[in-house]
Amino acid sequence: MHIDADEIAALGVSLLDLADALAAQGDSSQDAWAFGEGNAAASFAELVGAWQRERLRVCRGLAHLGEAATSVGGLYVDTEERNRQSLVGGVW
Amino acid sequence: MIAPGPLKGSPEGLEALAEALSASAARVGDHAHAARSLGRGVTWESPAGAEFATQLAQLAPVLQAVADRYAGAAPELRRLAEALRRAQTAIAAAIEEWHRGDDGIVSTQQRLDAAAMSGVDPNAPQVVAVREEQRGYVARRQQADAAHTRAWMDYVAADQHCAAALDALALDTIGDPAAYRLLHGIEAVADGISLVGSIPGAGWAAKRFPAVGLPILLAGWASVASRGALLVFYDEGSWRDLGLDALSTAMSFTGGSLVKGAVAGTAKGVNGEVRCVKEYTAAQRARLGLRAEASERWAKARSRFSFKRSSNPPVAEPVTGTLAQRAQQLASRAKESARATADRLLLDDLRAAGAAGTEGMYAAGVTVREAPKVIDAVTSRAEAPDEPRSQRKVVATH
Repeated sequence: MHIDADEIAALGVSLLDLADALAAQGDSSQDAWAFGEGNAAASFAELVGAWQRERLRVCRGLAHLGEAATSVGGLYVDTEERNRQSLVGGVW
Repeated sequence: MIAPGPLKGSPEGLEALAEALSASAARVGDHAHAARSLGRGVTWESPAGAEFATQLAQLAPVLQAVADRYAGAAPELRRLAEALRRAQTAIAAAIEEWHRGDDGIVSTQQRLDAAAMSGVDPNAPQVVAVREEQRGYVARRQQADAAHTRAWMDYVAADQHCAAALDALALDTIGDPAAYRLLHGIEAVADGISLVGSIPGAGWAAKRFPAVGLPILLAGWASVASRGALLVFYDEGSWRDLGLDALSTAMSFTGGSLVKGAVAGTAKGVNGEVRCVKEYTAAQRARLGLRAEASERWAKARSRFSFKRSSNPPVAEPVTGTLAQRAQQLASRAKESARATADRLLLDDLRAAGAAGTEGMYAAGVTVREAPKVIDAVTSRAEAPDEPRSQRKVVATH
């Protein structure tokens, strides 16, 4: 089974989306109201927010790889399309 | 007697958070699975692809840990939501009952007072009956108090159980180390204190009262130092930003910095109209102006040492032959160019060695063999409307 270039590009977009979603997480102050009183709100903030170092690292990695896959996948798709048009009489 | 209060919180909000966590866990888990699968048991047709898969696979353990955190937290939040709903219902009923009892006590007391004022014998049967009725109301109020306390304590137990479960889930490999937290703590506190120094008039006060000025100055440098430590030890931030922070900490207000601060957050539209795109406080404007001034000085200093890189683009061979041959040559050249660019993009970017003489990712118009349906799973999941932020915002507006 082969994976096409546009699928690699789609994977890149998906990685970039995930990087954005993870980067947006971490601030649970908006959610504390749902807990009302008690200790669970602080624990939830810890769970969601206190992995900032790894989150930054993962976001950087995902964004990096996502951009690479998107650029490369898009490049293949563009080239393939241009070649197809050229070989069937299209214009360069 | 103080009336018992309601229990704050929102079961629906907790359930929405649980849903958002479940969705995030599934999405991140899919990516972790894809990252592992693409790096193992899959044949890439170029070193760039292999490097890509290797680097993606390195992120898999962290992604899996995040998925485990979120997946484990979701049922805990659902249980807490159920406990909160049960407790709020019981507490609301107890508060209503308490007020009924309290109203009864007040009304019976008024009747007893009226009887006493009109000289009715305190042992008269009708007065004794009112006193008995009042005792009934007192008992109702006490029972309501006890029911309120029971429901509250039940929720406290559920809350503690949830907190302990969430704490246990957070004890994994991705939590921030203590030193890192300390540095971020110093940065946040020092930023807050040094911001005082950015308020117009603070400079005058600091000169007049050195005891005030020194802590502000020290806080500014503590902020810079903690950011420097974060950059050196944790690769967080940038040297340029650190330099600008140091420069703006050392600078005092100038006319230019105040003007820059005053226009911060405004933008000129294509029709020349200037409008405010972001609101800032006066202190924030002062800080932003100072930083913009520092940035300008930084750029000027750098321009003295800047140089232009020479480039010699390769000259392409002319295309010859019949129209069909030329088309074939151009198509082939485009593929070669795409392959070279793709490998350069990836390998340069991923800092991998050995780009020269490789097959290239494009070799057969293909990148990876025998990949399971991981990419499908990941990309289809990405299209699903499961953004936790948006869900939270919807809940928050209710």
